Amino acid sequence: MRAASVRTTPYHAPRRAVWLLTLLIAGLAATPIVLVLVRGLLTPYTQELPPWPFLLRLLQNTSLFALGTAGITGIIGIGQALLIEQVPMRWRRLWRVVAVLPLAMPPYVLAMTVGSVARPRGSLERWLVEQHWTEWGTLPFGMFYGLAGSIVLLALCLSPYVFLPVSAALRQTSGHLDEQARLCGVPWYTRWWHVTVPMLTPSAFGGMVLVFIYALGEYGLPSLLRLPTLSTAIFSRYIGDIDQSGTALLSLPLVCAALGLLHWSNRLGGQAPLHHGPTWRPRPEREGSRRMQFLAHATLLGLSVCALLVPLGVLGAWVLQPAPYAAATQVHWLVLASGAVRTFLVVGAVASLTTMIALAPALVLRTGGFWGAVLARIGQAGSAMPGIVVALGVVFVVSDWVPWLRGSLLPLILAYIIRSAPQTIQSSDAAFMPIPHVYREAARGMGASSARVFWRIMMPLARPGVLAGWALIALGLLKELPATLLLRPVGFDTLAVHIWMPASEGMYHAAALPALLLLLGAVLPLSQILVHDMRRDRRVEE
Amino acid sequence: MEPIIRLHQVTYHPRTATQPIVKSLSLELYPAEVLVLLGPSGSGKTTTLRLIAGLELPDDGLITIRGVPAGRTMPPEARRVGMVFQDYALFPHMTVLENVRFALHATPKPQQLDQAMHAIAQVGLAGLEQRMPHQLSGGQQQRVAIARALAPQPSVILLDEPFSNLDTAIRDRVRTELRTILRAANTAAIIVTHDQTEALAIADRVALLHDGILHQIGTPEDLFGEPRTRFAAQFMGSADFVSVNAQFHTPLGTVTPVGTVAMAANLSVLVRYDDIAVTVDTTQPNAEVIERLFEGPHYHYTCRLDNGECVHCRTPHETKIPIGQRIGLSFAATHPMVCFAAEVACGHVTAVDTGRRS
Repeated sequence: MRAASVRTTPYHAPRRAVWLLTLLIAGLAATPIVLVLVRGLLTPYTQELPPWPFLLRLLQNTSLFALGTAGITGIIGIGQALLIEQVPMRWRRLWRVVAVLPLAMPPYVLAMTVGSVARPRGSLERWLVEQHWTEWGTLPFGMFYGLAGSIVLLALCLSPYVFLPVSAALRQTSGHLDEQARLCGVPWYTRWWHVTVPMLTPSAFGGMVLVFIYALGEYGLPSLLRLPTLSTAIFSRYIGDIDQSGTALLSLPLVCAALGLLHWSNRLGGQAPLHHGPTWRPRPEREGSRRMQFLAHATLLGLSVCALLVPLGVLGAWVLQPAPYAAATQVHWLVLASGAVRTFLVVGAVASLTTMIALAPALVLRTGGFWGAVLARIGQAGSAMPGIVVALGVVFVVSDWVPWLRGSLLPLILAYIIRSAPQTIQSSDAAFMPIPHVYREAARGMGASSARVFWRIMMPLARPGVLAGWALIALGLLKELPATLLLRPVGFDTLAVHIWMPASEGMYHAAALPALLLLLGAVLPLSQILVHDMRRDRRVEE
Repeated sequence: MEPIIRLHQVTYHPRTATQPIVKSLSLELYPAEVLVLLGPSGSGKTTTLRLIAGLELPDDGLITIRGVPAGRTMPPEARRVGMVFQDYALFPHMTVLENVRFALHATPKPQQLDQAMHAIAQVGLAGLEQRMPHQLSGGQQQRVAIARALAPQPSVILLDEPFSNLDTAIRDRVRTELRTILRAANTAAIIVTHDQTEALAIADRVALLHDGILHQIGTPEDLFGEPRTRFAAQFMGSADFVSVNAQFHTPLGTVTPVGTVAMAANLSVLVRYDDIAVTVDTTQPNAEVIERLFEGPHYHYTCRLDNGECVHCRTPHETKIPIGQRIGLSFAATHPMVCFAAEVACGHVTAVDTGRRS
């Protein structure tokens, strides 16, 4: 644990209030997971639960889905990063922005929009048949449903999780390494395998672990694509199950997989490459061959057509051409508008609150010694848990200990905080880490109190990174579905719910307007992330 | 003797730059020679090095390596030149030994280990083969980079600002060591630096670059003693210029031309502090002390002459002249001094009357 080895002096030791907040977050994060574990382990396997063969199929589907998504996301994200950062070409900055945009796209929106084009009897097949190029059913459009379609679509959505860290790692690696390897006379494949790949492995691996966990808990996309997984099964049981013990049993494999992965990735991901010395990048004016540039542009364009242009186009078309059943299903615009306002308010407030209180564990992580590191890591446990497990855990907490809270907004907010705290801890820590200790020591030397040092020295320097963390969790919460569905008070419909309700019943046209509103709302946090990324980029290039 | 590397009229002008970074540069590197590319930052030194390594391609001119034209057809990996980057570019995920072995890609497997160990021992790092780069000090990292560049026994290695990341305390030692290593390996080297004392200390020949133009190339003594341009004189250090009128009078005394001196309106003579004698108690002072620095063995003064020009001079540490005192300055040099008309050297002069040293 590298964090524990950081020198701790009286100047840096966290104050009591900071410790208390850290304890609070760690407790919040740990309790629901422990409850799910305990209830899952105590539940006897009874006749009411799904039969073994079905359970095994769920397990198989879930693990294949999560592994496949992590793999394909890795290929897409690493590929994008390599093309954008290593092929000398024009429009590099534009492509960097475009590659991050899928962060705003909820997987279920991608599934329903791309689905309308690519599913069997979708608009693509209809068009092909109308052109007399094919007959109904001859081309394998059926693959769209089930494992293959789910994996590819989720991977398109989640590719920024791999692209962002890998592209940052590539940009922070001195360009001299590659040139040095060339001068050593080795062929390009040796160079690539021994120099480039080791540089990006840790960051790519970290991103893929996140994707794996995300996929374990993803509910909306597999249920639209008719892929039964543990998450979808948990949901359907939750609806019909009164004592909810079955759901705890079903989520047991998810918890175990996530815990195991966390343990494993801590050991593997710890070997980040150590970069030292000034960073040197090739001159931007050098351009690759025309063919290489064309291939790069074509690939990047193809990806963004699938992940961005098709969904936006389809949503636009649905809004402009209402379906015949529109009159019956269309939500009144006032209801929709209030839903949008409600979503933005709650998401903004929760993101801000989480960012504020998660500053405490971020500080304690590196300055609180061994126990600080342990507590901060427990606070991050929520990131290792699929969203649906966290939601379920909060349901258990509420029903077991504070039943009178049921029906209020508080459980949902708690779940949101637990889900987003890890992200904030991580990005705040990354923002605090590069601030040299001497700044604090210098400020204390001038007689500033520790609170003043924090607000006047640390916060201004860390602000861009902390804001980027805020934006990241705001994006996540905007499209959050499983916890919202399980925990929202009656009538508390967020935009995600407004999309999901008609979409789950196949009335996609009705979901188009809220989906567009959701994407519109994502612009603000997304621009925050991009600004932060570009600022860091400029620093590297200077 | 055949040069190992030859640049003929090389020009490099990338699209984004308003003017060429390297302008029709010609130079040669001979076997076992240490050539230093010297110049202020932005003068095109590093670019020249990258052109030689093949990391950039010249827009015009020809680079020849071991007699073979090295253009697009000879990529960096085929040029067999060692390179030490300013940031050393050690692969952070490989041990010292792995880093060095990586350069021995072309060597048969059985000999790789021996050769790598030999190169590591050569730079004095025996015993540290299994360390990771981040476990080494800056000086050790630099030596690993040198070992890696020397391991395949190239006939030439290129070093980009090799001493800039080192503490001044160890810089002198490392510099001497590098000379010894290069001599032992019988390897030619091109070293890029912006530090003229470093260049004078380590070079067999110095090439002085400014704004992409080669100002002068020659032995360190040549560059210091016989600068051909005013820029060269200033860059080589401690250069002052004193104006000379049509009768060859200067504020420091009268001079006579040696050979022919092309007369010009703004003729001036190059004086360094050891060319100037200081007289403290004089009835005819011609300068005022405006700044004094104690440098241990001596005091270093900035003086303003009566015509407004500033010169620098020294006295031994037992003579301390207060700031503001008026003193007498005259020529001390008995050797010919270089004259400049505008920016270019135009001949030599010697002092008529010297030896008024106090």
